[in-house]
Amino acid sequence: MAVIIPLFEQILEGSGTVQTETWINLSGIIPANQQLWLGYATFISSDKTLTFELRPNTVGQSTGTISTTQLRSFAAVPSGDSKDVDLFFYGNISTLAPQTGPSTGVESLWLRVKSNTAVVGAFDYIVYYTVY
Amino acid sequence: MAKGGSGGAPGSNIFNETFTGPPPGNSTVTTELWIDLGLIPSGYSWWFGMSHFVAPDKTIKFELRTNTAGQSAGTDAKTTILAATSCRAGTDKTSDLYRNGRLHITTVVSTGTEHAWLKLIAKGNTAGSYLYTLTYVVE
Repeated sequence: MAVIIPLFEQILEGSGTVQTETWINLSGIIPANQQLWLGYATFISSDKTLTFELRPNTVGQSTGTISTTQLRSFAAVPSGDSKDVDLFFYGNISTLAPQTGPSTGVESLWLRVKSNTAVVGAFDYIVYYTVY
Repeated sequence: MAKGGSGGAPGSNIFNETFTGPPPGNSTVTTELWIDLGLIPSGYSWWFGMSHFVAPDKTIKFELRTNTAGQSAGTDAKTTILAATSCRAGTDKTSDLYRNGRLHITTVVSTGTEHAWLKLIAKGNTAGSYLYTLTYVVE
């Protein structure tokens, strides 16, 4: 059987601020019949402890909510720190968006950022991926 | 593109070049500092393998950036981000930018104008020292 060896040559990156919760559409609509294959990510919390969740829409869904997305990766980052996340593990896991099948032309990849305090905190993110 | 070495034996590694710092005269950062890693030779790009950052005195965020095509200045508008790390005061951090070939973190192919940059961001008015090592190869 042929083995696909991916190269995560594309980057989704950006920054934002959050009080207790925010959702960011990282990818825009994933083109129909395609999936994003996520390889690695870096999350940075500048001001306070934050948690980062990578959540692709389930097939047929398009909004950024818990019920319309699937949690695929999670990181907790203390104030002033960064965390590199492995989403590939030498090919032993596949982190896809959408996870269960190709996009139907409505799905996106979301980043959910959460905090326990209402103080505004800044964050940055980088996700390395390829189109599958 | 540079081929992988056998690993282990000196001189056989992929990433055979190194940037280390701080550069002379730029040993501390207050809130923001751009470090010019150099002019990328025309027709070539720099492929990064590993980064190691140290923040002895205060929390510092380090961003590895490349000029976009045709640009040469060290500003957010003239560069794109390749990788980033934040070190809390008194800590260091190493990042694998190669991942056994699954990542290809590289600058633009130079037209003779573009540079690679390291952008440091910190908070507060006190000056903080820093150290960095970046391994790369010219391809």
